[in-house]
Amino acid sequence: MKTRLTLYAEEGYVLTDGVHYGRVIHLAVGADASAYREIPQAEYDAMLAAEEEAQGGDAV
Amino acid sequence: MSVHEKMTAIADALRANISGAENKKFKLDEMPDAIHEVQANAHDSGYAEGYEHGIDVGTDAGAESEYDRFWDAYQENGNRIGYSHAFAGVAWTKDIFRPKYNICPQNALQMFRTATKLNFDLDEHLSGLGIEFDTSRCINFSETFMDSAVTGLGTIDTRSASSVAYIFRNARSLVTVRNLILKDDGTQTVSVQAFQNCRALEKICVSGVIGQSDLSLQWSTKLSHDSIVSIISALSASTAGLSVTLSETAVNNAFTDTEWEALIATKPNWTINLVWEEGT
Repeated sequence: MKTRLTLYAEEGYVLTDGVHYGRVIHLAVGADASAYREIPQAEYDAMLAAEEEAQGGDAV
Repeated sequence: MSVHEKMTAIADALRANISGAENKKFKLDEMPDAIHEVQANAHDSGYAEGYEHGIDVGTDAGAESEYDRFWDAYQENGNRIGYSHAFAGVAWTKDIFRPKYNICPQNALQMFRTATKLNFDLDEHLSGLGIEFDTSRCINFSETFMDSAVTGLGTIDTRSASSVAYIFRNARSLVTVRNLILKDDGTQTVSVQAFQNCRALEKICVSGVIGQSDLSLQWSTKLSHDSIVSIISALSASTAGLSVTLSETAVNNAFTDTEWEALIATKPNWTINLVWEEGT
């Protein structure tokens, strides 16, 4: 029976496969763990902020 | 009855109906003028009372007439199906948003976008008016509640639509979605933006099947145990290579490690990402 592999980012980092992000990644059975790398949390937060800015920010 | 008694009775009536004349004694030749004064007073007070009453009744009748005229036109006498932008914008308030007919959109594009003064439970409000909000024939849910201040929704039936990609985007005040009905075949497009910034969301019940990747509720740090169970339960049991994202804070608050492991074990075909946000 195949079991699910869970990846945990180091403190201050976020895991990503380039599309999805998370501090904890519960990989689907059979998914490739090597697709994931760590990026600094600050880089992820900046990316989210930039996306929000590009969408026009909060409504006024 | 003697003449004196009759005159006294007339004088008593005059004293009762002329203001300030309660203690006045009337001579016979004063009575005709006094009777005219009673008549004039009755006319004036009756007119005043009727005028005030008329204003109230007229105002109410006028308001009701205008309510009917507006909503008959705005909802096409109950036949309107194109509700694109219908209640969008900051001008709609609870006092004004009092539809006359059931709302049955086939197009709900940005229907409540930026409705920042509709800051209440939409389902409760409409139910209180006896109005049904039936989305079962709606084919377009693009940004339906985007940037709105709506706090609660009842049944949102999306089964006629191919996509719910942006439906609740930036609905930052949304706390409850009592029943989000998805298609049973899992073909609807969902996206990262469907629940983007739904930071107040606590309770959602999902029925149907989530069969597409990239749904994210990472912003919903207050999501309840039952809501997360509902979402996980709705994930397709068969499709491979799919991913869903939740708030790490919400999961940690709602589940023990054992409970969480048991829950996600029911959907081994899904990658489940947990995002942690600064300050949560």
